[in-house]
Amino acid sequence: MHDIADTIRQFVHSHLVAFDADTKLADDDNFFELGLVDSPFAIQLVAFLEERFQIRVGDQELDVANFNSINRITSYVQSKRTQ
Amino acid sequence: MTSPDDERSRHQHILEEARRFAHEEVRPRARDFDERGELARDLIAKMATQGFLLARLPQQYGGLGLDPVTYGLVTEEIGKACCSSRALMTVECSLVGETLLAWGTEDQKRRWLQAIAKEGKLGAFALTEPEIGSDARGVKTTFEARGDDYILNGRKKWTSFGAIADFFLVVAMKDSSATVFLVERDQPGVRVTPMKGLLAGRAAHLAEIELENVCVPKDRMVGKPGSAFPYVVGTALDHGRYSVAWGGVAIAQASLEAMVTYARTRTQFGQKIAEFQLVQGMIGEAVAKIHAARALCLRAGELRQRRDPDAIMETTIAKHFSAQIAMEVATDAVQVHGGNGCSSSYPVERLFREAKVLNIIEGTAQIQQQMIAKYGLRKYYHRPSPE
Repeated sequence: MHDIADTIRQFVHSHLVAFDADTKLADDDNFFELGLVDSPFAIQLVAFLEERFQIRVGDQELDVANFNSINRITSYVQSKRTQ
Repeated sequence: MTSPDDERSRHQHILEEARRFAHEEVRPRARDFDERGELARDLIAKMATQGFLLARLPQQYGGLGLDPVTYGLVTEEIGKACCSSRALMTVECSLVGETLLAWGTEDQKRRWLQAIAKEGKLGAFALTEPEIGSDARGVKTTFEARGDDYILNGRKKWTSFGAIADFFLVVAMKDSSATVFLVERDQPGVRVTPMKGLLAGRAAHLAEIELENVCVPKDRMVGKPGSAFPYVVGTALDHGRYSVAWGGVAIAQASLEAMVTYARTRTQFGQKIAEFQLVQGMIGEAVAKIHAARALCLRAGELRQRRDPDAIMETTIAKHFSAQIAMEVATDAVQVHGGNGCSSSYPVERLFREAKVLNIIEGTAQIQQQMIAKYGLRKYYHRPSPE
């Protein structure tokens, strides 16, 4: 659980587009709504999750709501890995 | 089960066939296509038969199953011969084919990809509108549910191959959430108007598409409701940029070859103009720029093959750079040709016009710069150490 969350957190934080180096992002924060990621990020994130966790994100699962915070992504990955 | 060696050999054979096809079947007709303002139907049919229209897609859907790098090299070969023929590959394979492959239902893939591959049908990607270009999320075309169907209203513009396409992937909005629908050309309420008077892409069958109360069955939705941004359109544009990146290399390479050939045959002041150092300066710059652009494209292709998350940005960088250098090299190619370069008797006149478009389609140079700048601002930032 922590490994998954840490890996996702690191990826998300490394892709934040924020000029203020002290910008904070909590695990529950919706980074899309906060404008902290750019437009390619959504697809980059899916590619990352599939490659890193060896899962296949189904086209019917691709709802921004599943992937808009670190906690939601972590939950999604966990559920995929227990299927 | 084919071995990796067999597969490499198959890809190499396809690339060689693309080179032959481009040289023998496409290049001799490119000027005619441009002047008549259309790609010949028989050529489109041959490209479909050869598998080039869905070259990157799996063989089970009628594609050639090429890896991204070989697909790029095939795109370059076709693009060197004729920009509009390359544009056809970009639309069918990258914008329509890859989008349906990624987001379509199994039924949609089997029906519509097979239609392109085997039935002589064409698709087109209808995103841009008269008032909406770079601000794609602001599309004004709307949809609303009516029973099990959806009703679409709006206008699309600059739809490549829209004038002859049999179906369109249409991006439409409802309550600030966009969805993609597959709309057939012959549905009631669809009106297609070819666009004329264009700087370039004259044979790419650009069209305006008007949708008036077009009734679309629910099984024609591509992806989930509200998934157009960032997913479905993002996928299409990413694949489109990769194809256009190679299209830029193609224009630059064709321009270079024309420039070199002309410089070595044209005599002024009693010597070949290739002997003049200022001409050599343009050729030297062109060679270096093209090699750099091709290296970026190859790098992007390798990352795409590995499904690396950085592939999308490396593709953007490759597209931006190759589009820029295509314009620069084509400009110098016209310069080396002098007055002849301003005549349609020489291909550089067409290449010069076509190069300009690459700086606009699939993201303007300025939008690309912003994307790349944001990438750079996060990737190359090092927090200053405390004093």
